[in-house]
Amino acid sequence: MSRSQNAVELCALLVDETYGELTSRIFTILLRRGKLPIPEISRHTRLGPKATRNGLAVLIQQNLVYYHAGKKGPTLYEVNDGAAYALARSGKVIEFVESRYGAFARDVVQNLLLFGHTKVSDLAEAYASQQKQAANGKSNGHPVANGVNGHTNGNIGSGGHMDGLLVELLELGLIEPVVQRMFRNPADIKDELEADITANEIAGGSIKGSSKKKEQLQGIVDERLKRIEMEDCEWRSKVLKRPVNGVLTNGVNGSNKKRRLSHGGSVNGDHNYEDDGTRLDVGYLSFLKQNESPNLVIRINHEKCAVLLRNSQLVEAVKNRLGDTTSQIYAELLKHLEKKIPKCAYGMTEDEYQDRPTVSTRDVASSLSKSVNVSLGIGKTIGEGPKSEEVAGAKLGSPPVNRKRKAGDLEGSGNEDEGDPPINGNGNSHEVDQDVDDVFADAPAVKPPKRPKVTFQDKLPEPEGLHSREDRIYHIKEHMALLADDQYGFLKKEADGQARVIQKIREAEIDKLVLEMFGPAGHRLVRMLRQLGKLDEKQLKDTTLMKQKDIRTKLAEMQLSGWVDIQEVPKDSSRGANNNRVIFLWFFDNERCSLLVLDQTYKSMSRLLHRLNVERRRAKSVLELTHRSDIRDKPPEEYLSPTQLNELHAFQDREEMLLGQLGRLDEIVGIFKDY
Amino acid sequence: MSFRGGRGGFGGRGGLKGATWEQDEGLEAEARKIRQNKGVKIGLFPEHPTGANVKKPKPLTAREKCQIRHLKALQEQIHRGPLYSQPTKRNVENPIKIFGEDQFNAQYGSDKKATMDPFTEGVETYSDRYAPPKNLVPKLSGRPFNNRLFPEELWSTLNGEEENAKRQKTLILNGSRTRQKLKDPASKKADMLARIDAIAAGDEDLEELDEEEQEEEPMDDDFDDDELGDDYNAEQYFDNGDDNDDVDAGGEDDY
Repeated sequence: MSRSQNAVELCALLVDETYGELTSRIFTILLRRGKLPIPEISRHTRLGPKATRNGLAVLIQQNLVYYHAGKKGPTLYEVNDGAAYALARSGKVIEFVESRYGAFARDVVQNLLLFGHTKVSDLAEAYASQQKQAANGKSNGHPVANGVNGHTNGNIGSGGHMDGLLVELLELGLIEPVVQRMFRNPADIKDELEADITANEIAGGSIKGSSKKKEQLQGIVDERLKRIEMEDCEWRSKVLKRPVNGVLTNGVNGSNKKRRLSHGGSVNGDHNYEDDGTRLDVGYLSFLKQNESPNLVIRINHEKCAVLLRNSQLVEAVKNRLGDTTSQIYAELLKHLEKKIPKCAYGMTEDEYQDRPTVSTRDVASSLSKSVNVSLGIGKTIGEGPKSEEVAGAKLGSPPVNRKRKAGDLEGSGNEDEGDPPINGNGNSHEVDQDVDDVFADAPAVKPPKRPKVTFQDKLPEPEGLHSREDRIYHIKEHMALLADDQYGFLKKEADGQARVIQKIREAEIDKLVLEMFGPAGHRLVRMLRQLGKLDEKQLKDTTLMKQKDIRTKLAEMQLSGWVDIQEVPKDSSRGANNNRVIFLWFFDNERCSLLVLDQTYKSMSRLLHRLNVERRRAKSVLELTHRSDIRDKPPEEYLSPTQLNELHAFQDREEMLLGQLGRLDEIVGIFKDY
Repeated sequence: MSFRGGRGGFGGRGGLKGATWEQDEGLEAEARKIRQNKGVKIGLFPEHPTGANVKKPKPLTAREKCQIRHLKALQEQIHRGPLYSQPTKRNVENPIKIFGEDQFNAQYGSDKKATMDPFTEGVETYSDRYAPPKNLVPKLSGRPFNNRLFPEELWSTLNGEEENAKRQKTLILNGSRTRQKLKDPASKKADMLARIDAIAAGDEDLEELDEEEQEEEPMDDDFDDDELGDDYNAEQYFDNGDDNDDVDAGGEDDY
């Protein structure tokens, strides 16, 4: 895979930021030169063999480097730039885990990120020592030391609690058992399989014709790959089989098994809930031990993390388009599905598409928190009525994208815009933007939607004797219909077509950027070109209702920065200077722009990291003080003078701003690459 | 477009000889006039290239702040851990442009003593003992590794780190171990006995011994800081002298 210069720089910076200079140097050389054996790495980096080896060990431990030891020849090392990029996301992962599973889970995941792949037993040990430290009053530099302490104290001695948690996370897929295969480049594995099959089976076989051969090869390779993955999964499910049941029953909240287990120990009333979980898992702990599970090596699964972060992104999109309540329901629905989606690109191939994960409305309804008032956010008529459309148009100016509100949203939309301040600073563009929307954005609404309208009628088993519940389900159904009906297609009957949703979000993101950079006119042109394909300048003039002069300057401007481009179609074979015989077609390519945006985002991310380093150097004198080993765990207010304190705070503010921006850019990278 | 050209002319006049950077009342008055006439916002200075709309980002949400806090905490932990390697980069303040690998490598790993600033860091202070440890090479000895998941050629690095270091040290302290053995028949005898014992205990052990001895040889001492630091160790100075005498004596025995 070829990477852009900016991507290389960013990855190197991220590794440098996290694991220090030596590792980063090795990593950079590997990024630039591809696969290398140790002596070559030493030669290119001018590092001694010991330093190289230690650096490589660290990189492998964190899975930043793939290696491949062939039967003959030296071991080759290769970078894993996905993992390097994931370093920028670790904060988000930790935050996600904390918000869902609490501080204890946060600690465990943080340790896993810290240690790379780890044996369960080692992790337990490390955690125990950390606890001891916490008990001694050294809170390990957490700003929320109080919370951590409170929590850990409640759990001292409950190693089972951690096991339960690990099982839960394993089941979710956020952490995964490590097998040898993961240390090799997946592309390598595929290549090897292919070569193997060609050598052994097809070459000796009776199939003729290269295209047919290729097809068959592809088929066999896919099959093999699947089998390898299945092996991993089987092994995993073997370990997890019983705990899965346990956790589920725990969730459903009514199993006598749990009670029986909890009788075994002394239950004190204070930690009743916790103890339930703990006892349960102690039961399984013995089971896990039987299977040598403490020797199980685990690590964070970054692909799955991307799925989870994508889900939050999707929920955000729904919130912006359809309102708060709907987004909550959507979040619940995605929560049901997330266990079944191993990676973001899932569902792309035919087979996977056939058995997409599904969830029934009833499940969503039963697990949805009671605090969500589902009757909000739905009107009487859905996606209907020009009058209400006009009312929606009044609010249309504020969101940057051509968000078309459904009439039904109006009731719930009163508090909707609170968390979403307008991104366009100048009121001027608002008016024009609205104008554009009226002319153009409504056009697709007139066309029949591509997907048939979805009703969930057939999927709803009517629970009898539960009237309020029925009501609730009815409302949820309405929300689902909203989601399914939306132009983005958040939801499909019996499945969710997320791949295409992301496509839409990508488009929206590009739209936003174009609007920022080229104003409403450029935005209009781009959307026109996207919808109508390749257009001649004259046609463009007619459809956009703009002056030709304006169009030309705008298009030229956009072409210079690579957003739109020209295709030349000569009418006859001679294409000379005589332009009359040549048609010039303007076009806009989403894929190309995605790459453009991605590359620029990488660039700005690495600039942010550079800037952060500069800021650090400026505040060096204070930072050195705060890093001293005797005082680093104390709050800085105790030992710094007021001026120093000011300096420190100023630096911290800047650092926060830079890292915050980094996180936001990472969301864009997510949208355009990973999700 | 035309209006931009006009402004260019405006600026051109300001750039004439004799023009100063001081505030020019006449110029400002003129600008005010234009502003009033055209109803457009024109200042003395050209607009920022991206327009006056350099926007401030939205304030961070609570969730984002939380994410940042976690990221910082994690990085802090990693930086304190043994796997982090400190930067050794030269002239960080004004970096040069880099065109090739040689230049890229040249900016690292400079000798600290050569580039030290004698006014700020030359004199050791008491509080230096609290300074965070600066390891240039990640330390692997402090934590367990799963060898199974590493390539075989790195296993020695992962495990034997501590043992090798110790052995190297002993080697350095004693000068040459083998020669000493030659000189002292008692120790030689003991060694032989130990070997015989080892053979009695099992062949594997002996093999292991041999392997370990083989491993010692190719180890590179380039990065062993201890060795460099020992040059100024007075005690060792005398030790070495003794050793040398012994070696000479041994040599005589041989002849």
